[in-house]
Amino acid sequence: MTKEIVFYTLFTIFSLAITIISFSYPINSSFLLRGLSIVMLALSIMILIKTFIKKTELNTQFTSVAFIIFLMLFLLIGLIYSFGFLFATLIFTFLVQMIFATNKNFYKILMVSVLISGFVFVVFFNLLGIAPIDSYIAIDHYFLFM
Amino acid sequence: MLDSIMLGIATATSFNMILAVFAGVVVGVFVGMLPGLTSTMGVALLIPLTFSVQPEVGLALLGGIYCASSFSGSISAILLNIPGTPSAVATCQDGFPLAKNGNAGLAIGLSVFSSCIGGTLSTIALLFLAPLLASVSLLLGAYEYFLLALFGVTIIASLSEGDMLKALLSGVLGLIASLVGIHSITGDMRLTFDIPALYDGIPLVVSLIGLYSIPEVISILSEGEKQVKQTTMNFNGMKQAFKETLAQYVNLIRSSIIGIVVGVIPGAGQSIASFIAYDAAKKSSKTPQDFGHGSKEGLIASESANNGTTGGSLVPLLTLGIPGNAVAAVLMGGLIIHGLNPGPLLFQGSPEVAYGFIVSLFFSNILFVPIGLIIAKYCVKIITLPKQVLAASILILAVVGAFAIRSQVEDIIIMVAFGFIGYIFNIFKISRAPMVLGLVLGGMAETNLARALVLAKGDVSILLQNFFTKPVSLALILLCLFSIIYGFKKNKDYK
Repeated sequence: MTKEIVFYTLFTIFSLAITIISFSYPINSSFLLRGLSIVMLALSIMILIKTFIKKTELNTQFTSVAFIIFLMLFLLIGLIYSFGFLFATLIFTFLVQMIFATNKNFYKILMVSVLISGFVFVVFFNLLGIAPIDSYIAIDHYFLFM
Repeated sequence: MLDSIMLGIATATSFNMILAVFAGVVVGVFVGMLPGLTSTMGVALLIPLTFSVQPEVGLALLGGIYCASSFSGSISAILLNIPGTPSAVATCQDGFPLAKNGNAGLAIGLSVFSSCIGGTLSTIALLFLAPLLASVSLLLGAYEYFLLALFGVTIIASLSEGDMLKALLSGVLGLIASLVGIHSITGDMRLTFDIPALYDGIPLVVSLIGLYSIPEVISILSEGEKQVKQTTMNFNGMKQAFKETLAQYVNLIRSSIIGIVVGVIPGAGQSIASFIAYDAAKKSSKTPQDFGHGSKEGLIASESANNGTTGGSLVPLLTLGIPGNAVAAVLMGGLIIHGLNPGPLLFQGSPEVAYGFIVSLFFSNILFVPIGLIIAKYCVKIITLPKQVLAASILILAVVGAFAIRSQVEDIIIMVAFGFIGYIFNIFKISRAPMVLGLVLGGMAETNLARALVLAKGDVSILLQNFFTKPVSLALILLCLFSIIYGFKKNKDYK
């Protein structure tokens, strides 16, 4: 089975689930939702059939880059809950650069990370006044100057 | 109308507005110049910066980014043969050969002046067309608005690249995602799965940031290092460039009009306008053999059409609440965040915002001339910024921007989820644009369908009867069908 068939089979199951769920809501609140979910189900079945019968296969390549990026983003969310934005973004930018840089100059990467995370923190949390979250270790609050 | 224009001029000439336009143009030139960063992503990432300012100031900033980034994709196209934005692909064909022959300054000059004129003509069209169309659109009712929302999704699906069925699926998924949360009339919860962050629905800007930033970052990091052949420019050719641009007035006006018309059609983007204008210029040229080898006519045509779409794409947004392209959809998110509803009432309820924004676009189109030239001369090396630095910066801006909208970490998770959807869509060659339109127009579709149902006294047969007996409504149904048939026919021709 090709990746496309797997994907559109999963999508059809998802569409079916949405259709069933949409019919569980009162009609007045789900009139459009019901109609759209039926259309989505019909479209996904049509694409699935088309994928089955077509001869050419789509070049679907999942890259390791994507896996690393999504993993890093979830790590970043965990870090934000733990240390707040400043420290979390600093670690994140540092790691992204260390992983993807061809020339891994530690001090240069560290300096760029401090600059990026510091700049974003100052603009959003100091200048625009967005309140940081109450992380387990509340580091952000020590860096709010305005 | 003259009073409203004067009000717009007064609003747009305030210190804050001029500062916002200036900042927007500077940011926009960099956004457009950097390959991988698109106008849509630039505007989406910077919407959170506009929270603490007045709506018109925020819109002026975003408008500045839109106009400037539409032009500056040509800087990297001309100097490095790398289109900064997808719409600058046509510019590469003649811009880089000109630069390679030692005429980089002239090529940048032709690009900046033709973009400025295309953008200005487009803004004039917006200024006069939008209020006119807005007054007509006031006559439309719930039935027509519901169908307009559907038409927005079907037309963008039919004009998107790739499989029509997949594009429609993308649009329907966007519409369904926009219905998550509390129903605006009955108050019932739908598709929230007891997750409190979804009770108020999926935040539009958060989803757009995810859809347009994460897939681009993955694509930037997945590409290998490119060998860049860099040329440099000087200011010597500017006077000549200005004269040569004006000398091509027929080409300039024709291409700008193509840009405006293509921009008004929801879904037909800047790339389409550039190529149509380029093709039209080639067909009417006395030297068509020069096209692709450094033709000044080709460069002027693609650039004036490219910026000609900026004002055109805002016409359906400001008059009907239907965005003309993905950037306009993101701008619509910016309007909604400030509590403004794009549509005909914007011109009556908040004329200072509507006209102030339009007038600010004139300034943006003029201001990117000197700023673009200075940045092209002195900052072109920034294009060779290491990709990991660019990727890290985009991701941090996306994460903090998504959080800033409602100060909820859950919004970052929603943003990442939409980033994943965008990535999967890229893998399976499903267009993202119809989903964006679905997300933007879903609320409008549902509210108006609910109103139409109330008008039909809850009777579905009366509702259907009204859809087919009202002339405008019937015309819109036919347009929806036509756009779907056209999309399938285009697919068949393509194969």
